[in-house]
Amino acid sequence: MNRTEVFAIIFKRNQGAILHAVDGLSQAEGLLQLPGDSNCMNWVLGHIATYRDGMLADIGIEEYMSEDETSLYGSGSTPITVDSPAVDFDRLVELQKLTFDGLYNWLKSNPSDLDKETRDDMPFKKGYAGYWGSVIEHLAQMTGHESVHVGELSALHELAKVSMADK
Amino acid sequence: MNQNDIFITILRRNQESLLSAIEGLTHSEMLLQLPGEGNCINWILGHIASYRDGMLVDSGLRQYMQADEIERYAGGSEPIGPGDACVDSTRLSELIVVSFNDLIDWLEHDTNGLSQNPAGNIKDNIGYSGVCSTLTEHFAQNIGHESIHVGELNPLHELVLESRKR
Repeated sequence: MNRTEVFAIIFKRNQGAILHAVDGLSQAEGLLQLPGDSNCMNWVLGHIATYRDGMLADIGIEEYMSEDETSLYGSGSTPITVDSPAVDFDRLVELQKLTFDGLYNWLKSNPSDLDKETRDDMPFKKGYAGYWGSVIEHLAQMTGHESVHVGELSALHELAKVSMADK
Repeated sequence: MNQNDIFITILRRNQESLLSAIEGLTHSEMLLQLPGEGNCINWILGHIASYRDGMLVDSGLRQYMQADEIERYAGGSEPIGPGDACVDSTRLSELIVVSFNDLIDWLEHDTNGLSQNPAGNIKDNIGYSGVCSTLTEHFAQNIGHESIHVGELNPLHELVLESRKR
């Protein structure tokens, strides 16, 4: 098992958990809030997609998110609520699939440029594109980052189930 | 950056998030429940610790948890609520520290260790011990598994902070 296979395993686990968490939900459930300062599912999904797009940018393959979209979901961005601008839930789910396919297919192609330097020409901030020294360091840091946010979806999925059962 | 470095990077991130999530929390606060069927902090800590023990066993290192402790927090085990049998959260917090220290030390110093065959037996049911055909696959699967459970701690930590306002 080489280094890319390690990332492929973790991304595949994450993707399975994401698709399970969003299954059957709509825009309204994506905006439900847990107690305290946690983020809603809409924000978590947009955040994951933004950071995946940053990885795609550093790898040098097709990216999917616009500057307007990524600005809503970057680190430290304003929480998403029912009254704030947000990307549509279906678009966010589509982005999960597009970005996963891009990353996973690249990893399974046994790429030889894992150790190359990251970009220094990013036109706007997109996740951690251009931040880490090498592509592999970017992947290691952001794979772990993504998994933790995927974990946050579990409680939000349970909250949505309770909400739908109450209707 | 080799495979060891990848696992060290993610484990360190996990440990930092985990310790931040439980800092200053009491045992009773670690039993609080969010809406639905999610698990409390106590269960998640025990689950992570038992799966780390599985990595230690497969790596040929010392494990820390007793068989009854591992059984209580195995995959698919019963949720834990107030009044249910469980390991004290202080003990679980200690397990999280010692298992992390041993795994990091081994990954940093035994640079060829991941190429050895897994030493555990699937019949012992200690996390993923004996489940994967290679040690590297075990680490990849379980560190991904662990990271997701670490993420589950964030909304539970917020729940505790909200409970203190009442």
